[in-house]
Amino acid sequence: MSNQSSQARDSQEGLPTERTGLMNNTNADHHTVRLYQSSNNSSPTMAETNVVDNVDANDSTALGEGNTNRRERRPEGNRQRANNAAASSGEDEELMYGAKHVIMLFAPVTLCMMLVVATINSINFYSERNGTYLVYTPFQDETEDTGTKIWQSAVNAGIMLCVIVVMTIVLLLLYKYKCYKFINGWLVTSSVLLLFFFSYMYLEQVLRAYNAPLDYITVALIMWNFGVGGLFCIHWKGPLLLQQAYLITISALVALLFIKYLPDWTAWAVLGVMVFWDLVAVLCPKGPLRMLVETAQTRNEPIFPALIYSSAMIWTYTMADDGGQSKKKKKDKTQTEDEDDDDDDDDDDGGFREHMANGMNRQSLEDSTAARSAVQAFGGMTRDEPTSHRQTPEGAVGGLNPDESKVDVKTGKKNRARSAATTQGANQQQTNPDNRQGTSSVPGATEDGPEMEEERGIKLGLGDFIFYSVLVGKASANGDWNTTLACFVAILIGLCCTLLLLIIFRKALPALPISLTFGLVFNFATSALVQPFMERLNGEQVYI
Amino acid sequence: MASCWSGSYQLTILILCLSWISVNSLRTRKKIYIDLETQNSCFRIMNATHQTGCTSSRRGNVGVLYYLRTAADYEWVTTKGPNAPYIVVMNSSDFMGLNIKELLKHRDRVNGIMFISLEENTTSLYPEIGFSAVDTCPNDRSGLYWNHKDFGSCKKTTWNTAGTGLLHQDIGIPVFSLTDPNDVHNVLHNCFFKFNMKEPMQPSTTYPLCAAEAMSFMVAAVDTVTCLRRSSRVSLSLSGGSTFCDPLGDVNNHVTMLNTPQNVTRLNDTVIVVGTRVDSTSLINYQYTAADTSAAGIVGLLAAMEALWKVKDTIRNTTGAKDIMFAFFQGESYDYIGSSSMVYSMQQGTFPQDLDKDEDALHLQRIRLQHIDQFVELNQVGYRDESSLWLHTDPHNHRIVTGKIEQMIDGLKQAAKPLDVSLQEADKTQPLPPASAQRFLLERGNVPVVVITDHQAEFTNKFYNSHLDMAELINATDYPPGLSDKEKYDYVTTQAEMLANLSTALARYLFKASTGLQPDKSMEKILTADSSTVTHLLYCFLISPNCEIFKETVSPQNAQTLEEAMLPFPFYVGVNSHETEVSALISLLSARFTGDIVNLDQSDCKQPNSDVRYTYTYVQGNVSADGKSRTGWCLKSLAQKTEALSPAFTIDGYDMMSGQYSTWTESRWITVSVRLFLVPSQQMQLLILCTGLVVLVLSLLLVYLVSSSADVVFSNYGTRSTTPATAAR
Amino acid sequence: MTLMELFGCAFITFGPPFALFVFTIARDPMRVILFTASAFFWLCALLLSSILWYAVVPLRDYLVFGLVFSVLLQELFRLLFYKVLRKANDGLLAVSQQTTAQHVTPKDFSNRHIMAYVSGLGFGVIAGTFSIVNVLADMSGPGTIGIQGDSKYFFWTSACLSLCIILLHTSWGVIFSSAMDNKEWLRVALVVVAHMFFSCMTLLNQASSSSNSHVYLGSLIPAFLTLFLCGTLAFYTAGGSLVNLKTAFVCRKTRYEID
Repeated sequence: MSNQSSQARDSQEGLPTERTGLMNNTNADHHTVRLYQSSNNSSPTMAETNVVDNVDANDSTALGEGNTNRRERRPEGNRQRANNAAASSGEDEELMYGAKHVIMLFAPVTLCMMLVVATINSINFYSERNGTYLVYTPFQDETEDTGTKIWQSAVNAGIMLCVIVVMTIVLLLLYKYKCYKFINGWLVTSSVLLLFFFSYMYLEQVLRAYNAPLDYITVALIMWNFGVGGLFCIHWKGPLLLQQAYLITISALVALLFIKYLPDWTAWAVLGVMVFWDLVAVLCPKGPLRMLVETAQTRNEPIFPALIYSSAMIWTYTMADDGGQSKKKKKDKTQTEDEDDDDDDDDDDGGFREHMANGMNRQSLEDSTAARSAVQAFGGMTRDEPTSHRQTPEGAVGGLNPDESKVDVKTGKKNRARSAATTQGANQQQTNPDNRQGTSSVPGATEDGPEMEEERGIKLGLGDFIFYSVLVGKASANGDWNTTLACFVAILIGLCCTLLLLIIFRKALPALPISLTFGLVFNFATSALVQPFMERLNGEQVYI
Repeated sequence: MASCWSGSYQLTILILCLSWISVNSLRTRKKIYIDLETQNSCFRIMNATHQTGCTSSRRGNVGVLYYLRTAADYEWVTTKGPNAPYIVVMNSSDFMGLNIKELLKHRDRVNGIMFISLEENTTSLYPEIGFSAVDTCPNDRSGLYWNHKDFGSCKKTTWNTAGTGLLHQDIGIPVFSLTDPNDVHNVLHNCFFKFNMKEPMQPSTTYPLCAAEAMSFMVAAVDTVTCLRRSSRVSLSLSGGSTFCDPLGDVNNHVTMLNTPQNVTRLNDTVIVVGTRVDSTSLINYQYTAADTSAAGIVGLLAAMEALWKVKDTIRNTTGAKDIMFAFFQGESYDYIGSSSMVYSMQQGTFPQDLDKDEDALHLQRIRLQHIDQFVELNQVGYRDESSLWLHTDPHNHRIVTGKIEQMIDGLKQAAKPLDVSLQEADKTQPLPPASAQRFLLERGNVPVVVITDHQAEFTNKFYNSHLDMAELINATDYPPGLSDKEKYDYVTTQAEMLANLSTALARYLFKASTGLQPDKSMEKILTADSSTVTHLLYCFLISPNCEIFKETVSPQNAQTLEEAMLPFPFYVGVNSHETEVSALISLLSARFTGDIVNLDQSDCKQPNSDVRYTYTYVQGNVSADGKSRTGWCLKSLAQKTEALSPAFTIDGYDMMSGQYSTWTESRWITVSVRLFLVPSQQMQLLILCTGLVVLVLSLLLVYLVSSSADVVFSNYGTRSTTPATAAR
Repeated sequence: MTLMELFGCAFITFGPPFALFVFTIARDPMRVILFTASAFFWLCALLLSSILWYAVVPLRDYLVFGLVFSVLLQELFRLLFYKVLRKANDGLLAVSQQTTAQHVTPKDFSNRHIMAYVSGLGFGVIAGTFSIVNVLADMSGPGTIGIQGDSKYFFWTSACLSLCIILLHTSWGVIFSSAMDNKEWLRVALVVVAHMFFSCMTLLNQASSSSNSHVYLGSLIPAFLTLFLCGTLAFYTAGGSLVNLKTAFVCRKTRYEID
């Protein structure tokens, strides 16, 4: 390790690679850490142990669950190390996808919330009440009586929850019995609904709010392009950025619908209920979402990729287009012939269609539920996939196996492309998973950030986006920016905490509970307590 | 009152509720703006070809406030003042046609008009030359004389000399009326004199100046045809189509003396129709006082009804007695909506009840145009010319049915004579003044028509159809000083006395016209309108609706609304989807004056299925003996309501351009508001903006420089330190 | 329209923090997280002080009471955040290392001032935003302040003081953290006292009115003076000096000359 790094420094002065930087600084840093740490529980010999210990410290200090976790994770780490023959500090690398990935979620969540807040503030339609509500909410809190309001919204929220639970279970059963066609149809239908009708409704309200006339032909043109583009991006191929944009837009649309069509108190009650449902669904051994994730894992499929926002290329079909791009890049770089063949295989692959069967999309209600949840640590989970593949190269995973192997091939190829771009290292072309590890461990093989991102993405269910946005949107509907801001910060912090836990537990975690709890607390506290205080302070120009 | 209390105001109230949600936080907004209470705005109405009335731009019209008092002020605002655009404030007495038209010529500099119509300030309330929102020849286009070579366009007599035609002009800028003393104080003393007129007689021109934002954006545009098309367009809207305008309309009320069922043949010329108009109009929303324009007529008719129904048994038992129908026409100010709709349904055979709907039950027999024996209309009767009332006839009609008309005139005069009511015949060659009867004559020229008004030729009322047509102008408020509200309510005013006599005369005439009998002395005594009823009704309609006779006559559900009503109910016709308070009250009062109290409690007070001729109305009734609760009356009467919606909106494929029926629609609006605030000088704004930009650019530069060389700048700490913590200072 | 005023004030308040954020925070994920976290801590402090202000009903009309406790609570939370940061240091280190700019990030841990600066800026930005954002929102209408007798400089001073508190928090963050590290209690006290001084001084603003606008000078001048002093102190604490500044820019110059 250290050899490599020093080598790298020698050879590439002025352009230190990540790995070298990491090595140097972990060593250097460890000393400083010791200066300030009372419990000095690590002995710096190798970079690897070093980092692991740091994580343990992290556990015990920040989360207080260090012991059990450590015990649980130790073997895992060992297994990893055993598995990864490249031995390039597998453990610490797994831990490493912290900050960067948090930001990769911050940005889309922020965008989604901003979209909703901006809409709420500029278009009255979504915040005004005109007496039409969702079918699921039979009680419309128009009474003055607080008691009645409370039980009515509780009942409404209960009904909503039942609908969500039923839908999730239906989805789970369909998935379990491999009714991909049905799920596919369902999801495509719902995305058609969202992409065409609800976005048309949105466009209409925007035009109405700004009193802008627009002829039907233009609207039809816009809507057709938008909708079809969205369908392609979400269910088939498309640039990652575009896909992400569509997912964010759709989440915002659903959030706006909830804000508009849920009675005021019911919306808050639903948010509260979601906290618990998310916990149950994801964490209970028999929780539907957990089972969904587990089923997907055993089948070696990504879970409902289109239902989930992924911050990075996951080198599956969703990223197929990028495969094409990298191919182009490669061609520019004049790669060897067999690589090109590989690529062609990839792109023509009929297996993609099969994959698309579970390339799912979120839907106004049910799917958001299904999706909501499951912050997916892709790094950890997907790491295992290639590994297991390598161990069982042929069959054994069912009908989907050929596709999986394709995925692997492709992964390898991408890395190849990268390494080729920088170091012309053609020697890595044959081995797939090791190749991946190799890229990050071999100095000079890695590249700058964007390429790095592609390797390990982090995933967040669109449902999380939706409910975050509902919370912030509802907070902003009463016209107070402080409340909005407080909710926003609270949700981001909640998300951070969730991700921290994710790093520790390394399994799918519900993303709603912490964020929504923070958000709800801060919403009500700010609007009831902080706001009057700040109002007085602002009015008299007193700064605290 | 069965339905909602408010006509077009419903919309506004709904919107207010909605906007409250987002305005509940006060913050610095309250330091920036003074929101005025006034909701009294002019709004847009449309007919088949034009849009008329006021609107602001979507975000409201902003202008520097200026209070117009002298001619020099007008000049300042329209030409000289450097701070255009202005929003002008004027006294009610200056709010007259000429001044406004002068201002409207400079719409680039005048962005809105507000006028102070404070009731306490009566001396300056009335412009000397009068003010009428409609033009000089009201309803000419839809009347009998449209394009008539002698009488068309009021060639013979210009009825409404005070007419400004403003209601039928596309004003295009917001017009507001200030009725709240606080508003006036804010506008004048917290805004105008404080910032814009610091030195007396020397308008300030330096910023900050006080400005106003008048917001009354109307969502409908162009004309009724366009608006209805837009509203009813098969909209590809997922969030529901939107309606931009609503047809004007309400209900007509009428009561018949006889309960002739559908199996009894009605002979021709056997129904005496006595009618009056209910509505009035004005330029300004909520300010529809109509003392002379319609209230006097309504009250007169109601009082005559009460008197006549005291002898109902005599009339009903007289064989061959003609039926008497009291009719209250709604929406007459807008091209005779009520009367044209009644005439149309008479022609269709659906008046008063649609017999085809349910053939088993007993209905009232149809009344068609040919059944009408004569038509007496009580028009404006409050403001008597030469202390006399005038009987108008149509020259053509007079020629055809001379005998009958002479008979009517004689009968009326005879009945009036002993009562000290002077009734005189107007010039026979003069056409009818604007009156509902014109719509009947249009369709059947030989109905004998007599219109009773207070003017011989042109209107004596200088404030016809305006916000200034107030009770004091018709002597309905000549109370001795120091009366309490209760005493005022019971005090019989001069006008009440005169109206009561007129009603008595009318009742006696009708008795005779119906039965052919001359009432004897005892009968005459019974056939006398109660002057206290008249004064009560005048008080309730014109001064305060929160009065005993109204309380007795509303249903328990609406009692609360009545309790809260502060101002007289507006006489505006409103939009067709809502019944106005005035109509509802007339219906209830008719039921009360003509109905019998039957012994049913509230839940049983319903029409039986077998006989739908009678209306059952449950009202609160008088205060019972214990002084607390009210007794509750179930009134069984022949009082009926029929829809007063212009046939233009009900006939399939009606040609809106034909001009046959009224096509007026009222635009909807979202918010109506006025707020006052200061506008900063351009320099100050620029200064702040530039400071901001400079700060932004400087800090960007500085931070960039420092952070790019942070290693050097913060090198004292260590070799790899970087923190531009203070870089922005 | 007072849009110009709105944008002017927004630029004044948010210009420098924006620049700081863009050039020093945004590119580094770890710093963004720290930034958000410190904002969250400030929110918690505000929430607690609001509860206190709200709960003590008889003193609700006296802003001084709420203000004093708010300042103390804020400093308490600054301390808390500092402690948490120090405790979580290793974890943060582990988490942050896989960033793009690997050759930069770890400096955050070697140089404590960076974390202190980031958390200070987080405190400042949220505090400044909370105090100005609703005012800005109200400015978007057609009117400016003054009809109720307020000074016409209200917005302007609000913006300036908000900027002031943002930068003050930033420098306090640096000073506080380094003082805690080195156990220089005097400096810790200095931060608390400076904060208290600044806040109490803004109580003066209540006395301003349209006829009495110069009252603002009474708070603006000391405020910026405090900012200057605290800023300088923070600058030196963080390892800066005039000499360094000079070398930095002289170096640049020579480099350009060579180019």
